[in-house]
This record gives sequence, C-alpha cells and structure tokens, in this order.
Amino acid sequence: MAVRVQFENNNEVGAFAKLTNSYCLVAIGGSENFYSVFEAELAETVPVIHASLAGCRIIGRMCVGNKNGLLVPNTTTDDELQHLRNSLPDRVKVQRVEERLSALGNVIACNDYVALVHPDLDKETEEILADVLEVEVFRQTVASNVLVGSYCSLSNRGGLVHPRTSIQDQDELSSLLQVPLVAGTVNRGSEVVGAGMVVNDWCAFCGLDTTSTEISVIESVFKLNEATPAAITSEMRSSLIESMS
Amino acid sequence: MEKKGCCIFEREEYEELSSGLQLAQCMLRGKAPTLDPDTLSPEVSKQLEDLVVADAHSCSCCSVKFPNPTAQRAHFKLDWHRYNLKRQLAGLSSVPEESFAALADRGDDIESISGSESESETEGDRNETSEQGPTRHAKVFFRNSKDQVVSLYCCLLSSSKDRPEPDTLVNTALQLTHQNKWAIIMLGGGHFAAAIFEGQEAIVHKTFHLYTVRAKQGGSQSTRDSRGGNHPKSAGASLRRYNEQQLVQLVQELISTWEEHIKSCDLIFYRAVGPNNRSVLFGGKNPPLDKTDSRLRTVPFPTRRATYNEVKRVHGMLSFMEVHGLESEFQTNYPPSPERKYVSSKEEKASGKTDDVESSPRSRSKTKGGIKPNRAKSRPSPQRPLPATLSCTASESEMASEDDNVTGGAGSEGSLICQDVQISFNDNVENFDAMIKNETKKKKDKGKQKKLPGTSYAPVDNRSKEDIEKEELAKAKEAEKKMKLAEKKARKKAAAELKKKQEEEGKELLGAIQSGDLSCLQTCLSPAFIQNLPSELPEGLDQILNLPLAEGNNTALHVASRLGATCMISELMACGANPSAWNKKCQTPFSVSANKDVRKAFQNFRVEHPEKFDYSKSLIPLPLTEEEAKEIAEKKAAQKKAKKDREKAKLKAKAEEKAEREERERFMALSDREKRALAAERRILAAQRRGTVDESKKLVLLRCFICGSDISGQTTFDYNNNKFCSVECLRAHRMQDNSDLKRI
Repeated sequence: MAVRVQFENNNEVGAFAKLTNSYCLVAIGGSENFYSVFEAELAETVPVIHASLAGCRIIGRMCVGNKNGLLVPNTTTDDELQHLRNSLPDRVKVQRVEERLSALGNVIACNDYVALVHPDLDKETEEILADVLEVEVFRQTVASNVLVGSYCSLSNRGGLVHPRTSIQDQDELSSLLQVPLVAGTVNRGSEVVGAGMVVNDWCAFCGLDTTSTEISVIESVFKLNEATPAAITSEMRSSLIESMS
Repeated sequence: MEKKGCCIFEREEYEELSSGLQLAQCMLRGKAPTLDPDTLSPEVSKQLEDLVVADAHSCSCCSVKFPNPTAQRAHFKLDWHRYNLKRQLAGLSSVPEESFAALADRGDDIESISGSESESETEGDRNETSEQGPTRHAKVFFRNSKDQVVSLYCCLLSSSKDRPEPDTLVNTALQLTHQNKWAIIMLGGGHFAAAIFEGQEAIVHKTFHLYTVRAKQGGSQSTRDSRGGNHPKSAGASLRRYNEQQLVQLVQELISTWEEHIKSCDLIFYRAVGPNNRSVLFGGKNPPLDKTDSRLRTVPFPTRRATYNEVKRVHGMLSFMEVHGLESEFQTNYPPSPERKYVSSKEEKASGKTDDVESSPRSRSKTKGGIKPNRAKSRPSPQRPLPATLSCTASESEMASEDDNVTGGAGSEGSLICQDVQISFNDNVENFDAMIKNETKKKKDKGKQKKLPGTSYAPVDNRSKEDIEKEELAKAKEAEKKMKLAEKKARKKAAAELKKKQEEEGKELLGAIQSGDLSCLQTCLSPAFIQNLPSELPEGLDQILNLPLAEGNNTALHVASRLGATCMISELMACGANPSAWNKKCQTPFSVSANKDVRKAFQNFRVEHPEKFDYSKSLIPLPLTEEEAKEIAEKKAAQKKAKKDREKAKLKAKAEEKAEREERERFMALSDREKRALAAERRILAAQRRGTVDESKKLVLLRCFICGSDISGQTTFDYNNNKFCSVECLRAHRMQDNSDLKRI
C-alpha cells in the first residue's frame, strides 16, 4: 500500500521521515497532519515517533537505520538521543557516529541485510554500520552518483533507483543486493527517489505529487499490493494439494 | 582578437547565417531525454512484469566478471574497486588489478583511497562544476546549414525564469531580426542612462548623473543610513539623501514620458545592481517598470559606468551574432563537456604512473576548460612541461639511470646507487696547514666524522702510501676529539656542581635575610666566605645575589625589601644586588618595599652611589630637593588652613540656624495681637536704623503669623493686619479663627 502525503506543502517525504520494519521516525512539524497519516497507517504495527536530529527536521536525510538499529550523526544532541532510546523498541540499537559525511541518509542506502554506501565513507563508520545494523556493506554508486542514499530506495523486497541507471548497472546492483530493482521516479518525475519516498516491507509513503503510474511502479517493485496469504494460495497451492491428497 | 559575426539587424547577413538553424551538439549534451511520469516506458513495464533478482555477476566499473555471487560480494569491498570507482567519478579509465597491486605496494596511493581522508575541498569543487554544463552558458550555441557554430545571448531568446524547448529557441532566434525595438536602461552609482533602439538606431536616449554616492568611498547614502547607528548629518550626507529621492523622481518622470515607446518595445534590458538601484526601477507605489513583464531581461555581462556610449556598446554586444567557425573546430576549441573532468592531483599522479599515454599538458587543459579554481584555497603547483633543453637532459639522465639499473644489479629499481669518491687535497693544503685556524679544522673534522658511519667504503685494492697516512691522520684526530669530548663533559659536570653550590649559597643568604640577622648576612657576603666557594666562580656573589632565589622569581633584594630590612638593603646593594631585577610580576625591589623607611633606604643608596647601577629601570626616584620639600610643605599648610576655615564656617552657620529656630519658636508662641505689635515695633526699629547701621547685620522684621518663616521685604498675604507668607498659611489662620469663633 503506497500512500501519498505531504510535509508542510513539501513533497520530499523521505527527508522528513524515516521508515523501517520496526519503527518510524517523523519530523516535528507545524501541524500533526504528516504525523497522523503515518500513525493511521502504521500505528498497529510499529511505533511512530516524533524526532529531531541536531535540531533539524530533515531527519530522513540525517540518519540511517533498519529493523536492527539506527545510526545518527554526531551533531545529535544528548536529549534527542535519549528521547530516541526511550521511544524506540528495546532491541533497536541506537548509536551516534563520528562521520565526516554527516548526512548519513544521503550517503547510505540500506535494507535489513545489505547496505550501499558512498565510496568515501569512513572505514570505521562502515564497521559500525555492519555491527549495529547487521548488514553487509558495499561501496557503489547509483547512476554515477555518490549519494546512494538520495538516489536509491531499498526494502527487503525490492528497490527503486535513479531513473538514469543503466540496465547493466541495475543488474549488477540487483545481483549484489539480492533484490529486484527498477529505475523510476517519484513526485511527478523527481529523480531523488531516496528523498522523495520512504518504504518498508509492507508500506510506502511518497509525495502528494506522485502520479498514479509512479505509484503503480512503486507498489509493484516493493510488492506492496500483494496480500500476505497470496503465496500460499497461488504458488504453493498446487503442491500442497498434491501432497495432501 | 576580432570576433567574427554580424549584427542581427543586418537582415540579409543574419538570414544567411541563420539558415537551417538548429541547436549545436554541445547544447544538447547532458540534456536528459524527457521522462514522462505519467506513462510507463515499455522497458520498465517489462521489468515490472517479471521482477527477478538479476544474476549479472560482474562489475562494470572495474570491468571484471565473477564466477559466483560470493566473489562478486567480496569484490565490492576491495580497495581496488573503490579506487576504480573514484577514478570513474573523476572521468578516468579503470585500473586493472595487477597495476593496482603495484600502486598499493608503493604505498603512496593507499591514502587517497582510504575513505574520508581525501580532501573534502576537491569534492566541493567537483559538485559545483557538474552543475555548470554548457547549458548554463550566457550564450546559446546554434549550428547553421553551413555547419558553422553561431551563438546568441540567451537572454534574447528567453527570460531566465522559463526553460525553453530547443524548437522554441530556434524559432525565437529566427524572429529576432524582426523584433528590433529594444529598450536599454542602465542605472548605478547615481548614473542613469537609457535609450530605445529601433534596429541599430537610437530613437530616444537620455543620460544624467546625480551625486548620490560618496566620492571614493562608495556606497549609497541610504545603505549607510539603513545600516543603523547614527545618521550622518553632514551637508554631503543630506545632499546625497536628497539626490537619491531626486533620482527616483527623475527616472519615473523620464520613463513615464517614454511610455509610448516602451510599450511598443520587444525587449527591455536593464542593468540595476543592488536593491537600491532595483528599487528605483521596480519600487514605489507605481513603479516605472513592471517586475512581471515578460520582456524584461538583465544584461548578461559586466558593464561599465552608465553612459550613452556604454548603452550603445551593450546594444551592440547583445545584438551581435557571433560565428565560432565550423562545428568540428569548435569542439576542439571548447572542451566538450566541462563536467566530470576534474582530476585531483593525487589521482593525476597515479594516472601518470600507470598509463603514460596521458601527457600532463593535455590533462591540464582539460581542467582549465571546466573548472574555476577556488583561489581562496591553496592549490598544488601545476605540472608544466620542462623547457626543451631541460627535458632533453632529463631524458638522457633517465637513459643513463636505466643503464645503471641493468648493470647495477637486480631488485633495486628506482633506488639510487651511491658511489662515494674521496678526493684528497691534503697534500696541496699541507703547506698552509699552520695557517689554518684550529677552529676551522675542527669543523671540517666534525663534518667528516659525521659522514663516516653513513658512507660505506668501497673496497680499495691498491692502498697507496697516501691512504695510510690519511688513515693515521684520521685516527689522531679522532683521539683528539675524544679528549675534547671528555673535557667538555668535565666542564659540564663542574658547571652542574657550581649550580648546586650556588643554590646552597642562595639558600643560606635567604635564610640570613629572613631571620633578619645582619651579622649572619655579613658573614655570607664577606670575601672570606666567598673564597670558600669553588674557585671557578669568578663573579659568584653577583650571580647569586641576582638569582631568583625565592618563589615568584624574587631575588634576595626583593625579599629584603618586602621584609622591610632596611639595613640589609644597602648591604646587599653594596655587594652588587641589582635593584632593577624583576620578579615574576615584573616588580622591582623598590616597588615591593614594605614601608617608607625601606623606600628611603633605596633612595639614600641611590644618592650615595649614583654611578653603581643604572637606576632608570629600578623605579627608585631621587630624593626631593629642599625647595621641592618646602613647596610641598606650603601646599599642605594651605590645604590645612582651608579645611579649618570651612569647618569654622560650618559651625557658625549651625549656630545661626539654631538661633533662628529659637527665635521662631518664641514668635510662634506669641498671640496674634502680640505678633502684630511686634511687627509694628520692628517696622519702626527698621526705619530708625536705616542708614545708621550697616546692612550686613540683618534683622528679621516680619514673620509669617502661622509658620514663623522670615518674610521681611516680601509682599505678604494679609487680612486684619495679620501677615502670612502664603495663601495656605492665611487659610489655616482663618480656619483657626473660625474654630475659635465657633468655640465662643
């Protein structure tokens, strides 16, 4: 299910929110509209948390995380860090990293198993990334862009990359990340897919400008419109019936 | 260099040049084919139909293929991959694994690939330049049917706000020659120039200048005023303020008179830098020009002072279609794509090492085309080709070293092979040996000795007699040196001992001063005691006395001065304790003195021994002369007297006040009748006295009947012959009377 939402008239949803399979961070805005959209969609499954990082609202670009953990830049204040620790589920590790490229969301794209990172990322950050988020780290670019986090949106089921990624690059990335990839846009032709949307394994949020075509691409590549029992009823059905009979 | 081209208003030429006009290749480069977010491209829809994890086990960046996914995953973590990634981003070819290994072995390039240690500045530059494609150029380049590249200023074809399509660009370019009525308005620094052109002819034009900007200093008066602080009230400032208003008015008037012309203009160019100048054109209640007018364009190049000539020049430049020659030549003259051609110095070095095909001048020209260097930051010095003669010799020497490598032995590539050749000129110098000073000889020896362990002697087969002699000489010299070293050590040791002794002596001295025992001090300072000290101490006492003995770098004299030991001060100074010595707080002994006596002691010493020290830094003043002392005493006496007088006057005033108070009280106690009688009596008395008694002794003639204050000589408020100082008193009296009456 992909939902259209706006943050104070801004379509770059990925800049103001961070969505993973175990929590969702939402920027503190002037109104609660943005938050309530997330809450309505996610409240039954994951906690939706108001957060700011280093006093900024662009939390989606500042931090990186998955179901295992959350990395925040070293500019995060102690209060903010404490608030995050208090509100996140216990098994989510939160860590501050000393990284020169402090907009972690822009330089790292990850799901629960793999991460693509900026070629210049510090070795130590790479290690922390592997430890805290429990991912395998690859240094690669997306369409000759080092800001892999901005130009790529990943979940465990699929990924959307910069629209100008060549087919060969897509294939390489796909085999590397072990998820199917599609080149596409969000927010009526915006190529910053990472900043334009947030996604987890069952839900996606994109800007209000996103066209229905873009929505349909997003839903199919992230497999959001399949009902969960589908696999049992369709793919495994025949074999099950065969074995039971 | 003369520019080739033609004015766009010369119709025939222009049409000839613009036949078959289309956008040049360089304008199309980097321009993405438009993506339609509303339709699915067939590729994507095909991809979406069967979403599968691809199995392309390769890396296009390093151009390698892998047998299995594990190898691929491992590859993406290698430094080699990262190095190639960075090279690719810099627009360089990838490096095969073997040559990378060689690079890594050398070690110098490892730094450049180890993550964030690379220069962040270069990255910033790169991002900046990648934005500035040729599409951001002030000119639009076209290609005509003769395969020539021609250019026009962008602003002629579209306003800066909208991004035009190539077709519309070409169409407007073709229409330009017919839309020939242009207005050019320039404004800046109090100068105003405007003209309206039809074709190449100016129909109307106007220039004027008002004094609004401070000469030489610059900056308009309103900017100065809005900066806060005080408004300058000078004549010049008010003149400028007035002139600024005047300028706005004049411009508005002028443009309103030209309204007809401006309405019919096809394009309006303006140059008004800064908010002040812009507000002249676009500010106010009914601005001269409409900000949203689609014909408005700014002048896309720097201009000089706004004059009519300058306006004409601008018009000429804007209306000029430049011909850059054939497209193929143009491509070579102008670097094809300025983006992603940046080569950081390290990578360039690496590329130079790996593939020698890229010569440095070429890569230099590339960077020159695309990137504006940030001049605020330090840059590596550019690699320039050597002059022909030098490069010749360099190549020769290279050849020679290669030969050496071949003959010199395996495994030592690149390392220098040193061959020490000793040239003996001892024989020649021997005659002059006596004349060479000892010192210079020693120096030479030292140099030689230092070199000795570093150099490796080549085995010498034929040891001549000379060599043996030389060796002996060297040995003798070595022995000599050893002796010297020993002597030096001994001296050092002695010095250390001396220092220790000095300290001890200093402690003793300090003890003597602190105990206030003069005799003990005298023994400490006596020559007999000094002779007990080690003999190598020539000026021992002086040194000790002036050493910072106590904490805070205080010398003995400081200590004595602070303790107020008057007798010791002269004793110490007589023995050579310097009164100008500073302690840690930069105080001299005089300035830390405990009391007047100490200061006097210092002064006396100065008078007695005027030559002993340089007193200028000791802050010890000379004692006062007799005259000065007398003067000071007089001054003090006068001050005392004045004080006494003041006190006397005060007492007197107090007494008077007391008398007055008593008098008043007495008066108040009287009844009204008595008061009236007294007043009359006084009046008679005063009349008698007038002229006879001096006026200074005043007598109170009249008092207010209620408050008793002195109202003699003033106009009174009275009723029934009762006199009062004010209406309030009168009313109070009346009330009293009334109450009396009522009581009766």
